[in-house]
Amino acid sequence: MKLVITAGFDGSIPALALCELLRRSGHCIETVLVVTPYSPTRLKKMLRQRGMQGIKKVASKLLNLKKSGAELSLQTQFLIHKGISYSSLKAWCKVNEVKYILVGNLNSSKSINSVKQSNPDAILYAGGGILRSTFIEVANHKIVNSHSGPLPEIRGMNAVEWSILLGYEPSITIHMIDRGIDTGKIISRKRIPIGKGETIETLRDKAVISGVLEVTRLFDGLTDLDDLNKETSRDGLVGRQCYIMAPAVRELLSNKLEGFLND
Amino acid sequence: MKRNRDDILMQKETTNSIRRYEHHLELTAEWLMRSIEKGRGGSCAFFSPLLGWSKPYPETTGYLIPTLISISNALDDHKYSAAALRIGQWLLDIQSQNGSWHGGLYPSASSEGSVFNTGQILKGMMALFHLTGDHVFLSAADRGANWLASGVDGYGLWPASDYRASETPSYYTHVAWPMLEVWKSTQSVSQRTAAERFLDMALERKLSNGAIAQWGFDDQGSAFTHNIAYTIRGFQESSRLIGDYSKYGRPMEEILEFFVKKSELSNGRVSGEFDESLAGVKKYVCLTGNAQLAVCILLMEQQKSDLRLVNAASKMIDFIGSVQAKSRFVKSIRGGVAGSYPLWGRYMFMRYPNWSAKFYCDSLILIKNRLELER
Repeated sequence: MKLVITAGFDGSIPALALCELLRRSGHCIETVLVVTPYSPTRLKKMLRQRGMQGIKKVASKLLNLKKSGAELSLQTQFLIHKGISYSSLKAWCKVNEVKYILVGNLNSSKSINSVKQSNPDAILYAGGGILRSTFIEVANHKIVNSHSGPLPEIRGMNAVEWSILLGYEPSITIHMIDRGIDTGKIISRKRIPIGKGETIETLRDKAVISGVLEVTRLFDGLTDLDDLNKETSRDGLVGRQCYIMAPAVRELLSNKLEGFLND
Repeated sequence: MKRNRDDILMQKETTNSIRRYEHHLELTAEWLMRSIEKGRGGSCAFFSPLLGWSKPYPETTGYLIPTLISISNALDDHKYSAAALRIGQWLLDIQSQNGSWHGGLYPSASSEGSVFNTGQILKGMMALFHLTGDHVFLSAADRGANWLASGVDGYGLWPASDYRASETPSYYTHVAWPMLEVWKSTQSVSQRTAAERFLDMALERKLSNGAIAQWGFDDQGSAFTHNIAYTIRGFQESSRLIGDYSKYGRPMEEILEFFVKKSELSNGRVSGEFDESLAGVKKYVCLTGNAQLAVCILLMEQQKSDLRLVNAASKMIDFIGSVQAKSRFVKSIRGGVAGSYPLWGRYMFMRYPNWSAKFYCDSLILIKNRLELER
């Protein structure tokens, strides 16, 4: 299949893993669409939603700042385990002669034109912000996403955290993207394996890795996206959208996490 | 040393939130006590950095009473309920013969009763009746509620004794609520009937987007979140009092979900005004309305039991805390909550109203109690 993959930044590990694993399974990656983190609109939005904490967090992620002596993240370990040694999406695209398009926004005309030109069989969404209807239309509604929570109950942000806090089994959902937030048709759901000594960070990493593996599994040997079984009805059930946790609610999660992991 | 410790405790996000909210509550409660010390019997309407403390304001002194009693319980400090009793006594002293209270600051140029202001004072009278069991407070509230009930016409409006006689604003649900509060104790049919007549009429003003027409100070244009929250809360509390959530409480869910989303997307910094199409005026935050909306969201959460709602309310409350006056150098503003952020915003321009502090305290107590339930 001809695929386009999106990413929220050049160092996105899930996007890099998807690119390489799907290439290995015989798919043709036409274009990688990467959103530049330096867009003023993006920074402004982040500042409004998360305050300076959000900016600091993203900056350290972008600059790949690690505390000295810190262990490798599960996502990085996953790349090593899969023998993926590219430092960035740009590097991967260069080696594999794939179009690398840097855009300010996935909904920009530059981004939409590149999708039109690529005319993909499917787009794999691995970050880059909310997609507007124009993008979804141009993609013929063939956009697949891995969401880090059980749908339709837990949609939106901090899905792993909200799953635990609200008493749902942490799982990932592969689904189609439509105009709503995580409201598209569901393709599959998968439990996140939980081991000893988990933290929110390790669970989030595991959710990302599970999503990559599940998409790779679903796309293995697939020639037409329509061949995937999709849930046609959600029985009208759409959970209240989740957002970034406020400090007070995050504290509740910390208290609950210990009990949850012991159970 | 203490200053540093206090400020760090309040600002640091990772600090225990219940303790952090208690700290803000203590700080704000102390400011309210200063407004009473300076209030010549009641509580000053506001502190202005330019003009100093204002005259006492009977209306907000009235609804400050239940808040002071709640603060007493939350902080386990009797001085707040003692203050509530003192200002309640002052309100008894200035009640008109016909059972009403006049509008504006005290003393007022006009002796005419005010519908809205009388309604808010009833809350204080009822809170003191429940606290002390003293029927003098119930009797005052009963006379006030009867005066209010007698003014409601066949359309559910108050055509007289008000600044917008022809079109009673929708936020007068905040008057129907205390009338029902009184009815709960008096069982007066006329009080309940009049309150419900207004509520039913106001509910008919609900628009397809969940907004309630005429919920602002003006007939046209946008409304402060302060008035919007008055409207919603009036419906919510009325539902609670009549024991039927579906009648007035559930119809408010749609508009509250709108504000939940607004809070989440702005990290608690909700626009200060909205028009009836729900377009926000983004230049400032009405801190009073922010606190009131957080209370409304937390009240809805009591029905829904969903921590996602607590999350949205928490962000609104945290935003107020982040801009609350904390300077030790100007005692008159330390612990105060401005009407707007920035201080020169349109709502209560350059002033620290006592009702901003009151609603902030209400929101702090509610969220603290909710978080404690999860312990």
